[in-house]
Amino acid sequence: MKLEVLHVSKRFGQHLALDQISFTLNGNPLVALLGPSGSGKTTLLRVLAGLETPDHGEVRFDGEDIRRLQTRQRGIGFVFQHYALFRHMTISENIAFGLEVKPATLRPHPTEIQRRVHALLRLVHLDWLADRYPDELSGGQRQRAALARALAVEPRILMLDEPFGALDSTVRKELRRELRRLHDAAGITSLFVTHDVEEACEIADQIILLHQGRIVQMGTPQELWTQPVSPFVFRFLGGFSLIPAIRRNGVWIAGDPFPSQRQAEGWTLAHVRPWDLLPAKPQENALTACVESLQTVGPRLRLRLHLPNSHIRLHAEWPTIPGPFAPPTPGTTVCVRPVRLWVFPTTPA
Amino acid sequence: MRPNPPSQSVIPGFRPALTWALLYQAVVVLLPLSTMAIMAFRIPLAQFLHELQSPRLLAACRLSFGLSTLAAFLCTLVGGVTAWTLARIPFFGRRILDAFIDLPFALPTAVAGLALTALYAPQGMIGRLLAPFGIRVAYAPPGILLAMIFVSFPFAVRTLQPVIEEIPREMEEAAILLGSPPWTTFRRVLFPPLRPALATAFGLSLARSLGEYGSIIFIAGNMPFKTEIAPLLIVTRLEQYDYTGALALAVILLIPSFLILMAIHRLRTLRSL
Repeated sequence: MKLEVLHVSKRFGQHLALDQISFTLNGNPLVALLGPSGSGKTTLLRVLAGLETPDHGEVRFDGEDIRRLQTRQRGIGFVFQHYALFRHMTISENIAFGLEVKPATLRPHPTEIQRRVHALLRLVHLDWLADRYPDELSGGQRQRAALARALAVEPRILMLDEPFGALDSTVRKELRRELRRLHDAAGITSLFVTHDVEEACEIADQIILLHQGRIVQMGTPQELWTQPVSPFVFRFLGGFSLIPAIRRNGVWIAGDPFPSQRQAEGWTLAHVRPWDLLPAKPQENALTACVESLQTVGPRLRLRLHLPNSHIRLHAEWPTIPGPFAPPTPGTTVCVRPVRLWVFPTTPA
Repeated sequence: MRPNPPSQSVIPGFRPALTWALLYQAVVVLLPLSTMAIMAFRIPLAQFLHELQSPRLLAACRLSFGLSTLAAFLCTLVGGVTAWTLARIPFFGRRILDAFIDLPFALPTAVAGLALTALYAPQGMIGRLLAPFGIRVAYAPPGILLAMIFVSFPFAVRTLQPVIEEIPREMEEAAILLGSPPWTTFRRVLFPPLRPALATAFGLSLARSLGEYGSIIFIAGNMPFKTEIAPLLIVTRLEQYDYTGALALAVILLIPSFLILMAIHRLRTLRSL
């Protein structure tokens, strides 16, 4: 299906929650609405679902303005952050609800409803809990039930508000892949809200990154990582350090000038990822840094460094595979070489 | 920290708490009621039968139970709408309206009765407008109904309001997005969690209306067979120093009230209707 969002703005009192949001989705991608809290991602999802009316702009499904469509005709499957399962109904009654409330002419026969409910229960691996009430289920099971309920009405588009927010990390990872599988099985457009970069990158085809009610970048996870359009995008995606750099012969070189030279000779602050700050032999372009502390986290060694006689702190992350370098100890010095520097035109110092 | 045995509850002193609860019930509720019961057992059965045959009492009981049921029904309905408005719809002056709801609790009911009579008497502000259409409110059953609603309305609102506030708005939104029309959403999604509270609101309003005396006697006119409520008959007996008679009437009134409240409680705890 084709989803078009045209210049959508929404204000809550003094707060501009959405500021001229426009984008188009074609085909049936799995899209993450990513952003820090307060960036407007949940508001955007609610506007798309028709739960909030935008102050300006319009939302079109397959060319039709959703305000002209009745809720039923919009074909939205929505999963709420806290699931919003009907507590007085069993899981199978919850899933059947959307089919039972259809007008008589469109409503499937009761045996057909039962068949579809069971098929959905099997799809989300909950068939053994059909007659339980939501209160008797774990968080992950409720999430699956809410997904099945949303899919029961065969929506054109599936929307999920922070679908994994209330779950522990193991269940979270499992359900992520589950969502990807269900999305592929249903063959529909899906949008989910998250503030977790890893979550978005792991399963989404497209990421829409929001900040202060605006879209700052939209693209595949790959594009966001390799072509960040602003320091905000770069910083939001992952860890970084700021390091002085200067352009020499068309190449950015990191170093630590005397403070008096910084302004004069065109030094600027470049961003560097921890995993791009690799151990090196003393040579040109390598920096000598003092080790403040280090931790081993799984296969990675995390180091906190600072440049000698300077306030500049660096984070480095090295793989712990056996190599030519013995692991350093705090208080000693190491040589590091930034293999990739990111300089943005408007990098704030 | 001192480790707690697993069975210990968060609130300390289970025994003192239980003792206090039972003691309170015993002194405040059970003692007067059981005294009444014991005294009632001394009344010969013949007197009960004699009282029950009194057409005046039967007319008063019909009026009391009939109007109380109607009042409780209206209170639950209108109170439900009011509670919904207060819980869900933000509007200017909501807090003030919210505070006004409780006012009938604080007002001496006789004052309420006098005020209502002044308004609805044939010469009163509202009564004057209704009189040309032949509608009598004061000194007629509608006046009694009005007084009953006035005193029991806060019970209905205050019972329902917190329960409505507890129902997440997302429930409604979920139902709407699943394509449920408004009435179906109410009937299948919002009503079931509200049902116990609605039953309680009905029961409390009914009990309050049945027992109300102070405000009603001012507006009712108290004409035997027409606008005389059952509690008034008891007071009349007391004024004639006929304590046994008053007690007999009280028992006759209490037994059906108790049975009705029991039935409502049963209704409240059933999972499906």
